[in-house]
Amino acid sequence: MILKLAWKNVWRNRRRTFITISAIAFAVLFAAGMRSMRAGLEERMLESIVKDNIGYIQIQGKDFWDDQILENGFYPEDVPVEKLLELKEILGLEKKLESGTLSSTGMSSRGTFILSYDQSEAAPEKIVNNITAGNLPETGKQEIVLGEELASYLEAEIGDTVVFLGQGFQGATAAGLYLLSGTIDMHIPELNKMVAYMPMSDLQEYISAPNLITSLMVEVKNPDDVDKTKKEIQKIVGDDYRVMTWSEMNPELKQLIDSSSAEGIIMNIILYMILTFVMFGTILMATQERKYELGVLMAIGMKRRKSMVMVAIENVIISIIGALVGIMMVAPIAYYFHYNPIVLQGESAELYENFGFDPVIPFSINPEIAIDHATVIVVISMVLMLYPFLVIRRLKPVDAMKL
Amino acid sequence: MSVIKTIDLTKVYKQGDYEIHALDGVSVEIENGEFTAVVGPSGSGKTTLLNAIGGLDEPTSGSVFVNNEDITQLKGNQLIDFRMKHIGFVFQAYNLIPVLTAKENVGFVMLLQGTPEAERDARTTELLEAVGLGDIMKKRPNQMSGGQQQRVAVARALAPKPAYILADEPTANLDSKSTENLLDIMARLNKEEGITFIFSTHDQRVIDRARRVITMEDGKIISDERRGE
Ligand SMILES: Nc1ncnc2c1ncn2[C@@H]1O[C@H](COP(=O)(O)OP(=O)(O)OP(=O)(O)O)[C@@H](O)[C@H]1O
Ligand SMILES: [Mg+2]
Repeated sequence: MILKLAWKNVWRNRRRTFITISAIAFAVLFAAGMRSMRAGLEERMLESIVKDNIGYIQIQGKDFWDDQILENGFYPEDVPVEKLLELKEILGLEKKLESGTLSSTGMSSRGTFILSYDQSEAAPEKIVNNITAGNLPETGKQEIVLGEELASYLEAEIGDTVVFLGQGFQGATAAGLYLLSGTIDMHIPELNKMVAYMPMSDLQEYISAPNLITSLMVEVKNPDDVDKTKKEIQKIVGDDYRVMTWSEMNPELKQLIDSSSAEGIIMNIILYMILTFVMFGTILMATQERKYELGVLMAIGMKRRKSMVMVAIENVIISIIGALVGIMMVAPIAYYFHYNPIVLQGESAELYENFGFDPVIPFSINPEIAIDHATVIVVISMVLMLYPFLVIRRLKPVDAMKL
Repeated sequence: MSVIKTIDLTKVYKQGDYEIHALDGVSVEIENGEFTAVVGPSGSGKTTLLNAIGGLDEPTSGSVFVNNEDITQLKGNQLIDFRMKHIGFVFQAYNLIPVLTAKENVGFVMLLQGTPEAERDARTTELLEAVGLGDIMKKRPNQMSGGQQQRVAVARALAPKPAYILADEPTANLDSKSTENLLDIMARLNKEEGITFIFSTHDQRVIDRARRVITMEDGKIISDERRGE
């Protein structure tokens, strides 16, 4: 009965209900929309910089991070891989071997960073998908792919020969001629200027260190739990190895993401403050306007508690409708910009490029974002309900009904 | 048998430095089945008296007995319950809950009391027919005239079978035809069902219909006159 009455009350001042619902809906739209954008950016940063490159967690030889020389690498056989894979949090391990060298063609030369992939596994999607011309190198054929910009700097065309010259394992000289089989765009401009890819066994041969790797990249189930997972891994692999999380390997990125979320939080607080005032305004008006009626209800026998429940239900109905409308509005927008990311222009584009990734912002479609913001708003409306509660508590029918 | 008995009722409002004695030692008894008008100039204390005997407002001193129970001793929810069970109210205006239909408004108090639906339905229909509104049961207050609204209010006040009905200037916002109509209904319910009515008014035509007229001035009863039929 109270529920029915509340429901009817909600629709009685349609215009005000509509205004309140819109205010809430737009706040959800705004807050969740902004958050989706930021989260999308973060997801993208994590995806392109962390997941596809350094990994969320790496297992390295204990001195490798401070002194990135091949001599600080290790052999995968020495690591209790089976035991690691038993951890629920670990989805997989990927061997990594990387080495610096000098690449050159007849025209010019440049310091180059050779990355490798484990050719015994299927070639990683991130490499296959990022090939912009030509093909992946075939194992044992002395083939490589180069970052797009590196290739054009060296003026190397597909089919051309590139000379690699550098230091191999334990003082050996590393030298080799390689055929350019393709170019790759890593979506990180810095990397495109200096990266080369080859199958792992070819690289091991080039540096004269069969089986050597520089790190094991750990694929984790839940990126938010890396700190805990790191400890578990460290326990298994022991002191000869150093386990590092992405934020330890790339503190700048961590900082960028943190400051971006801090900025987002401040904006949301401001937004919520405005919304709180708007909502308080309507609740204040609605309560004042209905004092007389609440007085009548009380005079004829409605207890205060019931009136409070009624007003509470009205509020919850309005804020939930508003929140749902907001979620419904933000969903298609987030979906659209997830698949058609905003492409930045000019200065801001440069900023992102300097930071090492493409200036596009895909929105996140994580449904938790909209739901979280909707929840915050419903909670705000609950808190604001204290006002009508207070009014009802103090209400005296005689005073309320003075004409 | 007296339904209402007040003993030396006073109500003092402090306004800055001086006091207003809205009720100044009012002792009055109202018998079962009376049809009583409380009259007097504006500010004489009519509303204050009705509020006190309706348990809507606390007197400064004195007691109000309703069916031999001193309602000035009741607190909070007890008082709300008491009002719901024993007293029917008709206010000057805006009596009804705007979002409910005539029928729902009449049934509201019974609903609060937990009366079963079948019984509620029968009684609301009966009551609305009794006040001559059998045909507008589904209308909302804003679709009714002021007179119709007041009749619905009377029906609502009657619904829980109260000991008496208090009406503070029930006709103040009505035209003369609606006033007549409402009075006819109240008089009939009083005569046929023996329901006790106490109402305040300024309207001479309403005063003429009362069978007892209590006149107030400056918070005191200055005359109390019973008339025959
Ligand atoms: N809440 C209040 N605060 C201060 N004074 C009040 C209050 N309510 C009533 N009064 C005073 O008490 C006196 C009696 O008021 P009351 O409303 O009972 O008069 P009334 O006879 O009903 O008048 P009316 O015919 O105008 O309705 C008046 O002088 C009024 O100003
Ligand atoms: Mg009055």
